[in-house]
Amino acid sequence: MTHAATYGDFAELSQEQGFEGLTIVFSPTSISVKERWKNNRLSADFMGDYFATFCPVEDSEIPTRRDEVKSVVRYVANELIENAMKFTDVEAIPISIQLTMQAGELLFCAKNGVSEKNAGKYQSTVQTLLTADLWAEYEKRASAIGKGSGMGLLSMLTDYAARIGWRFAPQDGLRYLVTTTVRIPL
Amino acid sequence: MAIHAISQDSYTATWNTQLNEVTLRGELHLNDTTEYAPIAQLLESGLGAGPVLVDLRGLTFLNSSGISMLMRLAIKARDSKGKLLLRGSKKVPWQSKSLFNLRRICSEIRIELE
Repeated sequence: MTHAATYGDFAELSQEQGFEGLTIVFSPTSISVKERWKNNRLSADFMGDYFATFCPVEDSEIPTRRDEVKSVVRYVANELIENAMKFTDVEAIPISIQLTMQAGELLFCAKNGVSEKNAGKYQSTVQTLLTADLWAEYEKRASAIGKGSGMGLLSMLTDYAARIGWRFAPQDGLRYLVTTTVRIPL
Repeated sequence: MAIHAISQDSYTATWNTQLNEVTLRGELHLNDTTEYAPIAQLLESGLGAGPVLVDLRGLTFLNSSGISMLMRLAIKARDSKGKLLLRGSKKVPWQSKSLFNLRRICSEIRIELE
């Protein structure tokens, strides 16, 4: 693959409007995935707490709008970070997650590096998610043992009405930068 | 009465065998099916013992690997014709989003959100 390949409902981030949001960057080499696991949640929690503050507080419904935004941000950010941590096998490319709010949507953008071999596997998973019957796939993957079931992405589609897109961009040598964008309606 | 319990920093899982109730509390964000196995075993033991109530009201966070665990429980309930009641809370947003989709796997599951 010499050119970037895009799948699904990929969100092109507008650079012209300027970016306002939150970005967290991790270096894959610094500590192991197992040691970092707790930090994944802390990072996702922080994103949730931060974005919840933009929601009105006068809401008398329970759960409040603020609770709902916090919950969805925590869930999606955690899944994206977990996925990036699990599947990164290129240490030279940092892992990042970015969140912004625009046009009535939460827009997440996660980046991580993968080898050519893993890029092929990942693309195959993406194509399955995009073409398969979601609920049949949901049951099939829920029954799978181990990591990498794709359930995080599937549950975003089924439970949160997410629009998800992927871009696989070749870097120097045999590495790829994978960008995953997730849009959740508010 | 026997109580089987698993307790870690962020969560507890208990099975009250007399009432046949499994209660999950706290936040569950374990890595994969292997890490979830002890909790899954507790849930499946409850299901195997008869009609079981799974109390999720105090479970404020569950990652996708945890949702997969509930999905597998739903599959087992369907395949064994077991009776499964999930009790959740409207105050916990993920539960309204994710629990009802388990009925797509097993339509006989009862779900109550308080």
